[in-house]
Amino acid sequence: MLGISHLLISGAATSLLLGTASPTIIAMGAIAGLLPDIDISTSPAGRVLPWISSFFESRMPHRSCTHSLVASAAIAIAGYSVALFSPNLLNLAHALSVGYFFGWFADVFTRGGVEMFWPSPVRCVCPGNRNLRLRTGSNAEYFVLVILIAIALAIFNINNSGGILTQFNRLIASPSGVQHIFNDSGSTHLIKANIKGVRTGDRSKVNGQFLIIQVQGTGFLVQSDDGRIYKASTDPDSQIFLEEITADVGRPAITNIEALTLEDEPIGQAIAKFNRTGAMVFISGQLTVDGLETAGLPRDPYQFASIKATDTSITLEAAPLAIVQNKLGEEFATGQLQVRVINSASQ
Amino acid sequence: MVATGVIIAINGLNPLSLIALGMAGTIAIAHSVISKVSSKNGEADNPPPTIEIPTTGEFKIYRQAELNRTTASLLANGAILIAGEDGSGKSVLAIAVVEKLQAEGFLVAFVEPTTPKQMLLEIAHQFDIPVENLEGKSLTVDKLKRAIAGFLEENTAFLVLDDAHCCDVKFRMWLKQLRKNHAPMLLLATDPPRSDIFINIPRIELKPLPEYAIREIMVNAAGERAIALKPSELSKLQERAGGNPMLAARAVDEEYLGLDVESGDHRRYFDITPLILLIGIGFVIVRLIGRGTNDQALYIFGGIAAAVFMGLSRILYNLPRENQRIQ
Repeated sequence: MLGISHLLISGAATSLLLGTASPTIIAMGAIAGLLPDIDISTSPAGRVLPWISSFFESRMPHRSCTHSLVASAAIAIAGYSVALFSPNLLNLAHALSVGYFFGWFADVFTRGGVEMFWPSPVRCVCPGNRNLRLRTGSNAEYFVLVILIAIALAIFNINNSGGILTQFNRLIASPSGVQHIFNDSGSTHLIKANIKGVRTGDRSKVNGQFLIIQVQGTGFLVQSDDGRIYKASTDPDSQIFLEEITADVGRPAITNIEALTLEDEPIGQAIAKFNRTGAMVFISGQLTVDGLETAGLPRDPYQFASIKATDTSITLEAAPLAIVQNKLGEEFATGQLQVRVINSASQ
Repeated sequence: MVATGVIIAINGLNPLSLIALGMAGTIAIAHSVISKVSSKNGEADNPPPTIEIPTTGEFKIYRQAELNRTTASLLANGAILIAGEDGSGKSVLAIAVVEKLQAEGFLVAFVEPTTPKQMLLEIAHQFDIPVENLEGKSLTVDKLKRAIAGFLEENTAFLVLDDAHCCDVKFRMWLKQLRKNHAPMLLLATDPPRSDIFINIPRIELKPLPEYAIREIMVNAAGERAIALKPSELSKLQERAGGNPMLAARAVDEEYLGLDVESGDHRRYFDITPLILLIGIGFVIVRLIGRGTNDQALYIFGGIAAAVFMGLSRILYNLPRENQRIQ
């Protein structure tokens, strides 16, 4: 097999298995893919390390000892031994092991095969029919090379955009994928959801970008650009019935949750300290009040009911600070609140 | 490794010295393992220089153990079958046995398959058995068989039959009758059937020659053809020999003729397609993990990948088989 084929296979395999687009690690894996051919002095590795190649080529057939599971194990032991003392080299040790393995394993598909189970002299091949195996430098190998280049570029691109599962999640557009992204980056970044679905109220189409506030059941509480809050899921009580949902990681934003206890004091005064510039504040919790006038509370059937109230109690769920201050600021209440503060770098 | 130990003793123990000690140890162990494994595979990759390898004609005998065992078996009035693939060195071994027995003063008839009568005439000729009756007429096949059987009963003589698998069944049944009368014989065959004479006598299966012997055969073959092959070229050609001396010499011939050949005809190839398809099982496991952890993406991804592998396995299993004939 040509050296360029080994480079591509090992580099792509390293990127795919380690889920990285780091040039250093991919280069390490690709170069490691050339190492098995050190058993012959005409190979690139053999020319760099001629004294090692002369040892092997004078004693063994080509693609024997160095193209085996034993050699892979030896390389892995050597790599991880070094990584044991320098943990920052661990990824390079992974790349070395993966690159070396795929370097020789690719030769299984060539006419000569490899002594994979060395010291057993059995030559492993795939497929069994030699006429269907690759011949070094043949047109078939160049055809495979073109496909390999395409695969390698695709893998590098996928890993550069978050990894194969992230991209797959985007492809299938399922809530579990968005939940993954929200779990991974929700505490440090704004997560923007691209939602396609219908409003459960009137079945009108929804297609737009929303900010994810928090997870709610099997779906999400999301906020549109105009500040409206919806529950987007496949549950019957949701306002947006999801057909497709994908997520993008937005600008950096730190999310904090703080607890607040009220002892018969005005709600507005208690939560006023969270009214900071550049912060999005959402309040959840349950409060007890005396003789609440509920007529002025917002009751938009298209929105998520973030404020539910009776004469004696108020239940808040991801209620925006401004609305709570506006509608309930004057009320004296007792109870506990959780305040979710999202501080973004800039609006 | 000792030198590394001394350096560590001087410089003290630190991570780098531990790595150095580990590497030195690995190299030392690898060297001994390689030599031991090679010895196990092929009795010795680097035979002691004091041992002289006997030669028969133009060939060296690398199968000394088989030669001694065969000769001993024949001298004990036994019969033995040597089985091995084409080019594994059966004929060379047979010639060596014949030479050894003749050197010890025994009568040996060494025949190769032709027509039954021709073979019988050849055996009779080598044993100096008259092939004509008193009236000067040639003996019939049956009479020749009886004459040879009688001769073997009365004399200590050995019958060596190369390529015995090519002999017809009637001839092999006659050999079986001879064996019932304790006639000593050596049969050499490629892939003999498990029947008649072949199943009746003990056999030695010739293993592939060790790599050092194959390399030596190739170097000699290159020398005979007056071509200078570098170790790297020999290493590549050796891939095609697979421990078979005939294929080793053929690989050199092909190089001499400038033929572009990459795969060999030996029997060491092993199709690992089923092993590769085991990866598909890994994807099925991923799918189950996705289902168990309620990870929709993992579930769908594992399912799609497993389905792709199942399709691939169908394609791989339905690929045309290799034709056993030379195309």
